[in-house]
Amino acid sequence: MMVATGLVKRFTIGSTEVLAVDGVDLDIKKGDFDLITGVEGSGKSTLLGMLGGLTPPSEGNILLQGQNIWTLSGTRRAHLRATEISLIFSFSGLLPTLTVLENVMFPSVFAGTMVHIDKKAHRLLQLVGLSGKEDLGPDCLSPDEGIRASIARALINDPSIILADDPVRDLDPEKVTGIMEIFATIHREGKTIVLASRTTELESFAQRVMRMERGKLSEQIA
Amino acid sequence: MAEYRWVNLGKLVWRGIRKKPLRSFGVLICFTLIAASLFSAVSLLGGTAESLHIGISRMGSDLLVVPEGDDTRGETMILRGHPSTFAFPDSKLEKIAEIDGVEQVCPQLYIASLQASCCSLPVQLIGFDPDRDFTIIPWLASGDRHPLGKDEIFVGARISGDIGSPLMFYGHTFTIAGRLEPTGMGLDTSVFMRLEDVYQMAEESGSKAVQQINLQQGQVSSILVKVRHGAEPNLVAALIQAQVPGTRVITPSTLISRVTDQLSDTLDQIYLVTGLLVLISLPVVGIIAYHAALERRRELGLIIAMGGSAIFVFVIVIAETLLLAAAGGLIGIAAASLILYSYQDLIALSLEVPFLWPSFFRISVSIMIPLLLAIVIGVAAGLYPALWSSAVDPYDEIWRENR
Repeated sequence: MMVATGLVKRFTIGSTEVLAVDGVDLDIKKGDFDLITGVEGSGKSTLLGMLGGLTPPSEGNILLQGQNIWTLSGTRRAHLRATEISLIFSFSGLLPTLTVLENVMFPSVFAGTMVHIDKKAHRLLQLVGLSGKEDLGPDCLSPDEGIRASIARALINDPSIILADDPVRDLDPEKVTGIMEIFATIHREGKTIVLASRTTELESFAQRVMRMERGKLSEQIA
Repeated sequence: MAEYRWVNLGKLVWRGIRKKPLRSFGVLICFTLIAASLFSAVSLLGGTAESLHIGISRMGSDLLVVPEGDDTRGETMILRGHPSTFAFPDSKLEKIAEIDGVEQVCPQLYIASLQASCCSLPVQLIGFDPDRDFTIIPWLASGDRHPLGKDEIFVGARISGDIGSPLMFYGHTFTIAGRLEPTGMGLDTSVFMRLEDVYQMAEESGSKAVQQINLQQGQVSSILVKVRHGAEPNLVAALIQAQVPGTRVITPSTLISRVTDQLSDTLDQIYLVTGLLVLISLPVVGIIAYHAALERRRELGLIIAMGGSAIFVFVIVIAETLLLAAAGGLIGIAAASLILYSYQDLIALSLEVPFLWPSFFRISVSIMIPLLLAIVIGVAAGLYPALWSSAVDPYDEIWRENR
């Protein structure tokens, strides 16, 4: 489904060149639930940024359903992000000027699937346990509720793959299970998920666990 | 039935404006002031031009001959309705009628009224000869056209009183027989009567009024001249001044240039203020828009991550400035037109220019010019912030705070 080969990402900070991702090969199959663990600065976010079409690799290719996402035009890549790839971050990333429901509906603007989208958004909010909070502003949500809302938003356009960058990082341990159960549910419904996290305690939810260290990715047995 | 909920670019832009009310208000005020000042200038110019155009065409004459030395008073009387009394012998009438290029002549006599019940200020009484007249009768509002009888008067558009009601000047009672259409010029506050009635009123004024009119039979104040088709009015005017000593000729172009002179200082000042406002607003609005974009860069990065294109981000940023520019422009235009409409008499009086509320075409132009300027400034001010925003690196902006 998504195949990355020879991914390298170099950053230049001042006069120093930093190798954030160092020759990563990755084959993500449809319906996978992959967990990438690693400490802060190991290159997980950069890898997800490249897979998600947000930052270009210095070297290497990323094919999504056979299409190299980094040879597409900016507009086509934007459309791909709207329809095929959804990103979830360690913060909710909800737009402060919109209500929870509007935030969930918002990506449909880019996919052009706005008809009856409110009903779908209601359903997704129910799925993530946020029924009754549709009209609240993002400021009124707790951190875990914010992440729940961002999961609902990520699902609104039925993407092929969900890339989640440490969504439980700032949550209390008792809230983490609730969030991971949502991921497990959507995985059971057939979604492909790649989740990056600093913690190894989430291994039980994933089918495949990989470790990222100094920009290199190594596979572990789940 | 459940309420349909929606979200789109417009909603995002509108909420963005509402979220920072003080900042939005500041930007709005900039555009309001620019549009208001420019609308005032354009409308003032349009209203004056309209008034002059209508006034001069309604006068129906090509030239107005007045006694030498009284040309300024004549112009002021026509333009602003400052009542005046001046006269010269009507023997000049026949001399002027014989000049080459003159087709028709008609005398008028000007008397400044005392206080009258119709009006808060003295008005201009104008005596004319209905048999020779080619200006007043065609000017009557529709339905009022009939020959003027003894002690009957036509009143300007701004003189109060119904048709058939009496009006007294210098102790002489007249009856309103018709009303003239508005011109915005001084003629709107004038009262028109037969020459013989003016002479009679002057004769009786010694016994009936608190002030006597010093006027002798056979005196007139001006001679209205219609030039022959094909003749050059300025050339005929020069011939009159050369061949009839003691006269001055007022032409429509004299009136226009006098009004233009009168207005030029005021217009220069308004244009200067507008220019300064534009010069100040452009960088101020630009900085505000850039600062707003800077504050929202993570949000913009997230929008790109959700599938927003660079164009979409560009539109979000520029649309906020554009919307505020258009709204500010419309508010400015509405406020200025309200003030201009409510105080048009006072403004015209203090600027000493004729003014008539502009026609639909002129007012449309007056609205379009400041509105377009506000929009152009809005686009210009928002262009750099919008371009900068559309080029943000979403990866950098999203993860910046996490590093």
